[in-house]
Amino acid sequence: MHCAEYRDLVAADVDRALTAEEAALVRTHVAGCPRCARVRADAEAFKRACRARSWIQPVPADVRQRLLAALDTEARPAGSTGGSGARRRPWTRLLLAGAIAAVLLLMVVPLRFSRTSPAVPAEPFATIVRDFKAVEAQAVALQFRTDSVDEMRRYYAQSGALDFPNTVPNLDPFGYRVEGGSVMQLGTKRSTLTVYRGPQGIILCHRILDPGMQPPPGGETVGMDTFYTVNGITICMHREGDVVCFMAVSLPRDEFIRQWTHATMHAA
Amino acid sequence: MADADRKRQEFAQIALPHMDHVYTAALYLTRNKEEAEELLQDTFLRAYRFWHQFALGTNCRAWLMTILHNGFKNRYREQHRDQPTVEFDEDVYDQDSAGGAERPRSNPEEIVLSHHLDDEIEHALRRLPVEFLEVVVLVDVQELTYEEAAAALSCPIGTVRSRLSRGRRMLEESLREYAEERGVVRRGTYALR
Repeated sequence: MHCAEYRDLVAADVDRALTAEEAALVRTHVAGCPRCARVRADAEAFKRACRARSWIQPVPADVRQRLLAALDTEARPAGSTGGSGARRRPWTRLLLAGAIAAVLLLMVVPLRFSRTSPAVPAEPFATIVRDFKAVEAQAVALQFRTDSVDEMRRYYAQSGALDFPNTVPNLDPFGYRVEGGSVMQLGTKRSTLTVYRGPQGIILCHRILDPGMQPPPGGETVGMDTFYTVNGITICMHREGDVVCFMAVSLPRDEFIRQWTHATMHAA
Repeated sequence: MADADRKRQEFAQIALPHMDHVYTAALYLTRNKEEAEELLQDTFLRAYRFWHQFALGTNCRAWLMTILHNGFKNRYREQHRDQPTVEFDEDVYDQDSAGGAERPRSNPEEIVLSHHLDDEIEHALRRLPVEFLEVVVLVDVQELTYEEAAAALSCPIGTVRSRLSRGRRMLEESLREYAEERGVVRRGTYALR
């Protein structure tokens, strides 16, 4: 191949969008070609700049209101005039609830309850707690370290080791930055373990493919989530289609909900 | 919970938080505020109608971008093909690349992150030919993977690679010209390659 043909691959390599074989081919060429090395250096700089720049433009308030009104019309049952029929919560309120729920979903926020949970089964919680303690003690070498959610997601996608689509939530708005992750086992299932770090310590997210898994006993189900407390660690089980997500945090549940509801209200 | 209520709640929780991203993509694609607003609304109404087709746990933003691009192709793409866009001459680029090896140069970050060039960066992006603009917006602005961008555009990953590579170089070239004109970098010091 000529340098010109390598250019597209160099850019894709910077984006970590090549197979291992393609990446090796490109890197071998770049190592011996000053011109393509400059191409790569510029591509890396451009990518850094793009990521550092804020591109996203907020929807103007009037446009947003018109869209929510149109969705209300769309969501109205056929034959309904929208007048005196069954009352539905407006989208604006659902949005706020959704923002909070998203944090709950992502961040293990249980609703307030104080009674003692009944006994929970050993697994998978013992493994989750063990992983949590090990990461907290920095006794685990993560397979891939990055502060970029996008790169973390690409790493999982390119690992070739997963049999399910994986998402990596962006918790930056809440002060938690991704630190890295690994592809590993959770019981008999292949899982991803993603680590976030913020002002209140770490958050661990395990994800596995298990279409039939039901919430184990001993938890408290709130909406779509079930919450457990094991050895002082709060763990939330949440299902997204066939994928089950366990999120673990060391904050007490009540403290956690107070902080994250506050953060969400200010972010909304 | 009734199915309709569950659908509304899921949609509010999963899809609506991407509203700003969809609007931004629509603005870049249509290069027109009114059309962007129409495309935004069309995208979310279609997404709501076909919410049952969204696979929970997958990337909702990528799914919304697929709907956005289908809507854009159906309604606006042809009319935007005729708009003036930047040209990219691979031969000139190669000469610059060969000669530029000895020249001092500034980092593209200086230009892309320069607050003096905010308007020019927006302008340069909007002047990209639509087929290149689409992939740059999806990958660099929306942070989709190549696979997700290829799915959104219904094209092979190889096409995403080549259009993204070329689109970025066109963007850099435009910005270099702006930067030199505005004195952000000295003329001739920003050799792209």
